[in-house]
Amino acid sequence: MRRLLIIALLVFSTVQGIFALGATEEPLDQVKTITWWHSNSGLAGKASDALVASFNATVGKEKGIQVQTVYQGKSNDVLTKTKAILQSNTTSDLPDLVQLDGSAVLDIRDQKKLIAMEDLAKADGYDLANVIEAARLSVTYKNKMIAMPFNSSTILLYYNKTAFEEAGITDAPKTLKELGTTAKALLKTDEKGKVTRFGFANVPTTYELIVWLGQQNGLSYITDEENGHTGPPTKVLFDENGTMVNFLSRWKELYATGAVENLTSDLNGAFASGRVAMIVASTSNLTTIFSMVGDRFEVGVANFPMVDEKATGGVNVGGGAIYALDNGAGNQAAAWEFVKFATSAEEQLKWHVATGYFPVHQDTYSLQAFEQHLVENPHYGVAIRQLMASNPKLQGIWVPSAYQIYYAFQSGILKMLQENRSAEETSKALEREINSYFSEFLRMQGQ
Amino acid sequence: MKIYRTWNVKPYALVLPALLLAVVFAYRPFVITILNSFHTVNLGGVRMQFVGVENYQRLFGSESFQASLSNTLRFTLFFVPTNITICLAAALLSNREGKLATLNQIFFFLPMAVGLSSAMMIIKMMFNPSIGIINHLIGSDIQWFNDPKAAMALLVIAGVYLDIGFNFLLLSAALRNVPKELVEVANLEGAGKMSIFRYLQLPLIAPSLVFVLMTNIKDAMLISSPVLILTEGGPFRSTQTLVYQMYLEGFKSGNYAMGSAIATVVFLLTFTILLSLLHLERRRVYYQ
Repeated sequence: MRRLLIIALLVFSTVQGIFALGATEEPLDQVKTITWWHSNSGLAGKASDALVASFNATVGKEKGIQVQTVYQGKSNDVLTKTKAILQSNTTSDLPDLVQLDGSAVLDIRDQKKLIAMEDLAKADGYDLANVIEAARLSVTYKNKMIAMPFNSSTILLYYNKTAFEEAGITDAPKTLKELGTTAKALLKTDEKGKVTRFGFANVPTTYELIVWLGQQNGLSYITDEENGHTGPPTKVLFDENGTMVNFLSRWKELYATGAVENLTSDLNGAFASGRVAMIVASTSNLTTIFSMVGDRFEVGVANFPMVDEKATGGVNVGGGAIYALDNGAGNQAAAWEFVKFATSAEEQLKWHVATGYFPVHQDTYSLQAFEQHLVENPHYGVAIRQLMASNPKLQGIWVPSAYQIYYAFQSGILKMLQENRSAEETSKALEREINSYFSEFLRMQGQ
Repeated sequence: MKIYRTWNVKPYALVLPALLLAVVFAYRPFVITILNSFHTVNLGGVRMQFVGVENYQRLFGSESFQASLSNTLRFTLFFVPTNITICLAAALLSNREGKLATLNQIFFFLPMAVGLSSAMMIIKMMFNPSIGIINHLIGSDIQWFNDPKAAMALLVIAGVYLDIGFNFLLLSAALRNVPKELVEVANLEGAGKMSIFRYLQLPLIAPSLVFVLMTNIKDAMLISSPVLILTEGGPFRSTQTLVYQMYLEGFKSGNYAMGSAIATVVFLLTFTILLSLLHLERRRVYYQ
């Protein structure tokens, strides 16, 4: 008898796994948990939490999918953490979805664990034409949409409307030449001749040059391989197609007005304190700038000034996108459900209203509520009309050594202004330096 | 026989944990870094091909590296004397009896209690040109983050702040070890404060001073964290230091070979400077 009891106990203890199935109810077992790493803080953080809560309560509940958000710090930190896992090969730790910005593309696009968003969309029969073209092309690599654009923004001109009225200026400048005239009219000095208000502040670097070089002649590429969207770039094109020299000459004229300050950081602060009357910044800064300025003066926004009348390309889409990764859990379809929900027309409207990032779904633009929103907030309308009028093929650059290139542009242009170098000389020097980063990258990859 | 064996094994067993740590975290990475600097290394960190000194040739030919090299040397040149003067002055001033002196000592030591990143974030806010308290207090509009000279000065200020606690501690302790009787005798003989410092205190604290000098040079040559938080190498690369560029190349651009080459250069440079100082020290400094 005792022996029988012991055997029964032994059997129970070893095979209890088979009874475990009976312990929980079946539907709970099938709930799939999706992890989403993001970098949304402040207003965007609240908006993304609301988005996830709304998904979990509706579509998620219906289909047995629950999304878990993990705030991983700034966009750069999210990339660092993702890269660390990708390199360590412990891929089961990878999130199903990760939100990254444009600078991450080079590190992520050739990863085996990346699931191209286009494949997930196609498996579901989703029409990619729903995503507005400029945003779709901003994450298209070798003719495939590798991610879903999510927090998209463009560049915009911010101006001190009160100062404009004081100086009797009615229209925002449309070209660099007009920018110079306007800036000069806004320049203020004290008795000693010290400048108390600059008309404009900027030292152009990658972010601005993508537009100022790219928009020339309808559309110009900065590097070969279509700005790196079809493969790693091997050389820059701005010198041979003359866009850099053209831009630099205009910039020199602008700087010669004496109304431009070579400011590289804290432009928002300088603008909000009234020391600078015009700046260019991302549309994602709209809310921040408005709250910083408060009621000190009235803020106006306008289209990003063109290099000259012939530069008709418009502006590009910047910002971030959601990438799907394969962590071996087989969650792809569930992850896609969430991405589809997050970028649906209605959710994109809520996201836009809460954060200022513009909607990436085509249908949002024809929603009644959206039109109403634009009437109440005309500033957003400026950014959206500017984007709609732009050439969707105008795209950001995907280049190796992005930081070094950023400083190459910045210090190259400063040298031109301070040491009075010619535009041609500067363009050639920049070409040489940036090409060396490209060849360095290809050399390291054994190509 | 048995005793003989335990005698032999025990010291090795005791040193093993430390040795293991050193091998894993110092010696092995050191060798790999030097190896990498002579190869091409792909994004996955795999050594591809031996290229000899090509990486170094490219490095020394690049404008960015030249800027880093000159910035680092300039920083060292500004930082080391400033820091030593300030720390020594602080130690001398608070080298007296009394409650107020103790309070002073605590104040000078306090920066050590604040984490580097938080301290740098606070400094960044204090020096903000439009809303920072520093410009407001001194009534200036210095563009701390836009003017290359001001940015370098800011970096020196941040460096001094970071180092003052520890250096003060060392110099203060050294000054206390100067025998009181000697100072009293000098006083009786009518020596002024200046002469006491010059002929009595300075020679006696020289060993500590040399140690402070050496660690200062090392700190200055390796400076990167304040750069990362305060200026990110800007404006116009004016605060891009060697180790910050190593971080950019190795971790931002994924160019491990170039990062390794920079690391090797920094190591050799610092090593040479310290070695020559050590040589000088042997001839000029006397230990009690």
